[in-house]
Amino acid sequence: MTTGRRRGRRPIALRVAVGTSLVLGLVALALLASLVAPHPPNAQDLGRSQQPPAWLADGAWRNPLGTDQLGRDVLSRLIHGTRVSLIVGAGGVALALSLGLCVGLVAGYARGWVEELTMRLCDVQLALPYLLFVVAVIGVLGPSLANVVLVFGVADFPLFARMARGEVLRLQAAAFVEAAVATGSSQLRIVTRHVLPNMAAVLAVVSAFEMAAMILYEAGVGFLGLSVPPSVPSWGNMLADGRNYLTTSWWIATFPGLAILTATLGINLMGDWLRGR
Amino acid sequence: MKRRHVRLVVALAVLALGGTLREASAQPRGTLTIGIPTDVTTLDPTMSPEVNSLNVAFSVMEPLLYLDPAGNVKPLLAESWQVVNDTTYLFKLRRGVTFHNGEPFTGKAVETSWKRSQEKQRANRQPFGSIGRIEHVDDYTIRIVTEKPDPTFLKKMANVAAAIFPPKFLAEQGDEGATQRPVGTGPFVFAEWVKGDHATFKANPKYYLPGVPKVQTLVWRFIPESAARVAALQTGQVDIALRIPPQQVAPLERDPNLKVSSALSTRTYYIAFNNLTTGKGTPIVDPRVRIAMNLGTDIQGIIKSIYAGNAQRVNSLIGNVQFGYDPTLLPMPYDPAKAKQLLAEAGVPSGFKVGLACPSGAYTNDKEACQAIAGSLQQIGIEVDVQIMESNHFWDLEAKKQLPPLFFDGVGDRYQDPDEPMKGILTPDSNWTAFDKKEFTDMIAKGGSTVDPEQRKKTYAQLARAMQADPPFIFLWQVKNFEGVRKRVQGYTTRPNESMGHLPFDVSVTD
Amino acid sequence: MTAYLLGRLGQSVLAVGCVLILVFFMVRLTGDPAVLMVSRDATAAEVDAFRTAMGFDRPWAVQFAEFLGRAVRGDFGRSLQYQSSAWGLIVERLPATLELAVAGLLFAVLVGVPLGILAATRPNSVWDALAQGVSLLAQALPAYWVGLVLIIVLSVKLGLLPVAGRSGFASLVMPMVTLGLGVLGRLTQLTRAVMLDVLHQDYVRTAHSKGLGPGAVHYRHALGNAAIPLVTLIGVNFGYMLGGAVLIESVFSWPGVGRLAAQAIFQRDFPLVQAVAFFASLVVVTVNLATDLAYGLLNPAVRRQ
Repeated sequence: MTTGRRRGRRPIALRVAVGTSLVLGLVALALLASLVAPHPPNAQDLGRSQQPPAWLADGAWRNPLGTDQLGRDVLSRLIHGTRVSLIVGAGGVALALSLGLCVGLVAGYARGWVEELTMRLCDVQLALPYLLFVVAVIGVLGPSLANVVLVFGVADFPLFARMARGEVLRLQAAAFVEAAVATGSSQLRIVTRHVLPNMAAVLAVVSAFEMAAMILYEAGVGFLGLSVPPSVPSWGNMLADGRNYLTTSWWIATFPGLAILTATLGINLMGDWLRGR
Repeated sequence: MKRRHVRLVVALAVLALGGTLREASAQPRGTLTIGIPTDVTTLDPTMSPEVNSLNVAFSVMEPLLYLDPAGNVKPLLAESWQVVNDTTYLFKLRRGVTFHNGEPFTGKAVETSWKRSQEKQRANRQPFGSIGRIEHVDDYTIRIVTEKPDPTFLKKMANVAAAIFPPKFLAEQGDEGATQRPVGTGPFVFAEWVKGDHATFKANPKYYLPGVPKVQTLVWRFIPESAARVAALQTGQVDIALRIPPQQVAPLERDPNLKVSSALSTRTYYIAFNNLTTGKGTPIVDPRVRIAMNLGTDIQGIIKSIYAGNAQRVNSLIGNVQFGYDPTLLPMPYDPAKAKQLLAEAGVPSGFKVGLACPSGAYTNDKEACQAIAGSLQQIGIEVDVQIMESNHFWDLEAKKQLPPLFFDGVGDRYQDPDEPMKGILTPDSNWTAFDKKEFTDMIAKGGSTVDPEQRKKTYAQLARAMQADPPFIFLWQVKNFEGVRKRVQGYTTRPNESMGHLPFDVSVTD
Repeated sequence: MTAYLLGRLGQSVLAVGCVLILVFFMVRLTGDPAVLMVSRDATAAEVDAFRTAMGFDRPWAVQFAEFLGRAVRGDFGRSLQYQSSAWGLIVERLPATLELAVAGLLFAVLVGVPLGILAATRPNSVWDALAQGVSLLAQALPAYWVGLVLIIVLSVKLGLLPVAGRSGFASLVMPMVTLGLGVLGRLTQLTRAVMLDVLHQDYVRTAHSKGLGPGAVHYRHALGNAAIPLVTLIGVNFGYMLGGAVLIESVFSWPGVGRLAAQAIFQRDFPLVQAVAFFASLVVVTVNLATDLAYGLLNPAVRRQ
């Protein structure tokens, strides 16, 4: 009888290793940003604005990935921006996942009116226009990293709640759970030993792509002035700033985009490990 | 027939034929499509002051007067007018004009429309604020008495906000009809409006001026995303694209099917100092500090890097294309050494910390400009905390005077005259004023209370100098407004105040 | 079944009511529309007069009572900007919105799910790598960038498709792909994960042992149960596509509800925001009801008593 026991398979281990190294690398960059970055991220130099990356004509190795419209070094901003993006992505998902998991588990187990109430609560949050929610909360509380994490976490919890509840419903009907009930295992034991590990696959995958999504949402709210202040570099802010220069100084937005791609890759590969296969 | 008579008849026949040929060749032809940057919400010019909505409305309805490119007032629905005295105007209306729905154009229509425009719930009632009485003289003559002498009155009456609606139409269809299916006397007739997508108008075959309009169909496409607007121009989906950001202009200049048209916008940008609320008790109360901040901002450098040189400095808040602009007054120079000296004299030799609020996405490159200005001021020791806000939230706080002691904004100008903008940002009456000094308020009142142009020019020149001596703002720039035009379009020019009223009269398409 | 549906209807009414109350207060918290609507050269006195004439300065309780009274009759009032029926404005945009949302969803499902199945049934092959690569790119690429690149390549350089507006299928292609891409990426990844998981479960092996061929195993037993989380994901995203695809609608000038909603929120157009919230809540409760019913169909053991 399978209980979600992990099976070691060589190719998966390689994938997981790559993913984990990428993620650990990013975390390291975030922590050591001031040591690694060649320039201060906010140092403006209007005389050097919009310089292309070093390997192109007009570029210089002083600014390996070029400079943005205010003459700030793109590479340094990219490195410093890792911190904000990781916090927004990881923090937001952590909040959404915790809220959602609690709500979903309660809903799936309690059934009856408790389930209906919690699911309707999710409906209300889903129905609230996301923009209005962001504008209202950030407008009242003020733009800051913590508030952005809060808003994203709360706005996204219904997805996790519905996923979690759906998984509970599905697993309750699965053979091994029925067997565990038949042999008299306690509810708690069933949940921790059988249900949660089997939910891990789905929740891990959802967490992974929601994290990437949140890093992108941060760009969206950043463009509206509802994210972290401009003195704090973030990939989202860089994407938003570079939006108008895509056809001319393409490097301003492209490198943060590649950074997001890398982070998404790492997280997804790591997710395979959490999936247990 | 006598030979003399034959020659006369032949001459008359040739004239008549020539006349008909001229008329025939002046038939409207082709479709003109314009890509505009806003989502129009109403076609009723009394309900929104937003320039693009007004331009679309201008296709269908007309005011009594018309502004030519040099800023002179010309007749339109008013055949002629007389300035009786400082506060009284007599308009003689054009005869034989009918509205698109068949109603006749008479003084009654003017009265009904203007009374309606003055109602308190009209968002765009401001041009009518100075009208005291509207007097009916006869069917085609109307007398207006203003409450006080208003030097910009005639220009206001040339604005599409003063457009004339047919009275029966208003009575029957009300606000909803005026917003969704407007009827006027204009060169185009409303055909359809698909909200969020486009609005279409067809040439008015019964328009009272010959050869107008020159195009058969006029389509306004709403394309808020600038990159998409530029792409639509390049593919030919639109013939004219408005408000092109300066960094997207270069590829268009290289395109053989396009020409780039530009004009210096009347909108003047500034950093406002607040001495009314949040700025009280801070170092900026001292005029030397404010002069230092003007001297310490590298405006030319910012224009070069952020706007690629496509902006022009202003010497005060009276802009370069406005009436009363004094070109002999130079903009305040960039002199960081002097700035530091002044700061020391004012008692803050090592600078100070101050907040600067900035709207996001409201104006071209607003965020970048604010950050660049902060970077400049940093060099003279002033630590600026840039707070970027969503635009509408920003304006909400600005009106409540709750923004930090510095904020970035721009002031537009529909009539190319400093009276309204100055009243709007420097007199205590206005929501948008953050700086109060009696000397300025008095001078602005003086400039706006007489109709004598020479006297006004003197007053505004004095005001500009007074502002440099005790700056209520950091004086920034006016930005060049870029528009893209396909080669098939003839006769189009960009106006500094972004008005498109000249379209039906000047613009045609070849194919 | 009827009892269940009736019960759900009752709860949905309550949920919608909650949303409307929340939105009523949230939108008033965000600021004053009078100042935003009137021209900048109006004096403070004129703005005050405008505010009074429009009724914004009345106490919130009064405004709320009036709003409730009208809302139960289905009247959301007149949009402040458009001066016409708020609900009418939404209904006008419904065809365009539905068209885009359905097309985007179909694109995401018809490409994403088979791709995920392909990856799961041929693990560690080149197909697996391809599917995961596509999924990754689809998730991580910003919609704005994708939209612009599509416009530049397909419209400007190749002249195949129109850039802006809604005018037939050709104008639907790029917005549909851009909107569906993110969901496609997630669906591929989720389908693969769920399929991999389930392919190793008991009942699949039981079915195997019953002598059914590998084809039947893949598409009947595995899919039914595995579809549950997929259906959840599709449901939540469909709701979002119907009400909030602002970015895509802006880039392609698509006349949908998303842009209308954003405009209303930023301009503090209270009646229109409320009408939009009502629309969004209708969409969400309907989609979630459909999703819950679908669970029952996909796995009979899950069906309610």
